Amino acid sequence: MDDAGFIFACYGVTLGAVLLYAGALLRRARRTGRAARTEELPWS
Amino acid sequence: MITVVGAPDMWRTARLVAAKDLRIEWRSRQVTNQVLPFAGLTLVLFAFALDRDDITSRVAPGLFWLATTFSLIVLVQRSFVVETQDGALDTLRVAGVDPAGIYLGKSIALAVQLLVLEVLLVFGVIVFYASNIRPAGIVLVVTTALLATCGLAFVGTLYGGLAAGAKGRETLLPLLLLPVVAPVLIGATRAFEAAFGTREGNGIRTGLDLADGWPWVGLLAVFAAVFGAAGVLAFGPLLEEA
Amino acid sequence: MSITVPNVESAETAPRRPWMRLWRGVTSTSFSRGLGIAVLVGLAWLLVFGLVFSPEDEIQDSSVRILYVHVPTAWVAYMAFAVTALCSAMYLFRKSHSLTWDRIAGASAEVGVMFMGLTLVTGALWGRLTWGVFWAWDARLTTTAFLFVTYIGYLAVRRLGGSHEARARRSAVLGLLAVLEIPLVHFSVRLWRSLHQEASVANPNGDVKLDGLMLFSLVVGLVAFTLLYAWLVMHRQRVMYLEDRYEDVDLDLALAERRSENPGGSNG
Repeated sequence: MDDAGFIFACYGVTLGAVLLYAGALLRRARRTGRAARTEELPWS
Repeated sequence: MITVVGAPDMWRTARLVAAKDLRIEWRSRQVTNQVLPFAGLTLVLFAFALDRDDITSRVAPGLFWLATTFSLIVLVQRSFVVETQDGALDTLRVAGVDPAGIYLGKSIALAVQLLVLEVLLVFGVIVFYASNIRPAGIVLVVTTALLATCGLAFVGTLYGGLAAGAKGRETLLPLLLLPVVAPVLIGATRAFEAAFGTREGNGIRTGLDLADGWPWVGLLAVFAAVFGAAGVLAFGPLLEEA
Repeated sequence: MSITVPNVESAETAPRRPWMRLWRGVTSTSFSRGLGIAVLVGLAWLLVFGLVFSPEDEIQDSSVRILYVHVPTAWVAYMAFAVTALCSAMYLFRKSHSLTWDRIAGASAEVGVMFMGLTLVTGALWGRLTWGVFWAWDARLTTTAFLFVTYIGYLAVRRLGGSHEARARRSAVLGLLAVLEIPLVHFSVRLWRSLHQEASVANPNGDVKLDGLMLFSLVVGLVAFTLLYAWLVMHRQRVMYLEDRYEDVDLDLALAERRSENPGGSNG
């Protein structure tokens, strides 16, 4: 495969950014959601 | 103070607000004492950065509009500092003044200040960059400047109102405003190039004549109309908050 | 509204292992967990098909593999901004002025900005391989860059502070203004470029003939990223709800404390 560096960089940057963002989101959810009681949340 | 409580006429409000802004400007002389030297300074700095005389004369229209755009940001900041200090904007709102009138009035005042600035900048460009306006191009230059200024003033007032009173407004306004005014920058620059004839015979494009400038004037007119209408509609909801 | 004391994790709901904490997060529901699994499966398929099974293009060689990521990120970003505009309109023009519309608009814009950034990065890498340059002043590229900057500004406006309603109104107006701005920018850049000689890299990916496994890989990417978008927006919107509520509760707590300090005070 030619240009493997470019292609791996492309997949790596994309998946890395998405995973970081998703992880940060879940961590933030845990931190802000601590005080919330589950039955009050509109989605549960 | 101006009392316009219950004035039904949007244009009357606009006239009063514009007169108020211009009177404040006339007394403080901020445009002539600070903004104009700033704009002139950018012209000189562009010349330093670009170094070669033949380049500066070729790109003079673009530099002219860049300097105007930067000055627009400074002027918009100034225009809303006047309003948010001492809660003047809140007072106007509580007094029930038509927000569309306020919007138009501030836009008109801003446009007048910009036009004064542009007239002086044109002389700066002619002096510093050795540009020449073709006699036949004067109509195009004037039309372009008028329409582009209307567009800039409408957009500037709208986004200035959006950021007014917020913390970090100074850094936010350029971020919001510069992408939006890009069509004006492109359009007005191309129209000026046609009027100046600056690109002719420079190997980039030959046969650039006045007719090439007029489609851009159309774009500028559409821009001004679209954002003027949007501002009249959107200024009310923007001012409602506190 | 009930006020609970923050920072106390009740013993029965506190999971032990870190991954369990993520799995049983506050913003998760059985639907979002299912969606999350589908996203992971989709991304795994994308990796396998995009990097291994897909044949190389005759003209573009292996750089076509970048398109399986690039095109879906661009699609998701444009869709996200369309959703933002739609939800902004729903917020402004619906009588109820429900903050849910505002939160979906904000969540969608944030996710969209991330994907637009990825689009620009992957697009630059693809351009370097295919055209030999990272960037070209093509109308589509320029509009994309302007979208990116515009929505960064939108996100900055959302963080200005003030009441939730003020935030919602301000950002909804901005979300709708972006709809006016983008066509004007696109049109002016296109008009500008058409006056110059034909760009050497014209027709950016119109020539690409995708068929068989290549087309399938692209579809896998599109589906996986669309599901990913839904998952991210769902969670982001819920986190925003929690944050908004947390601020309200904090404010209530402060007010309650204030009142208990001076019971005779008239300024409650």
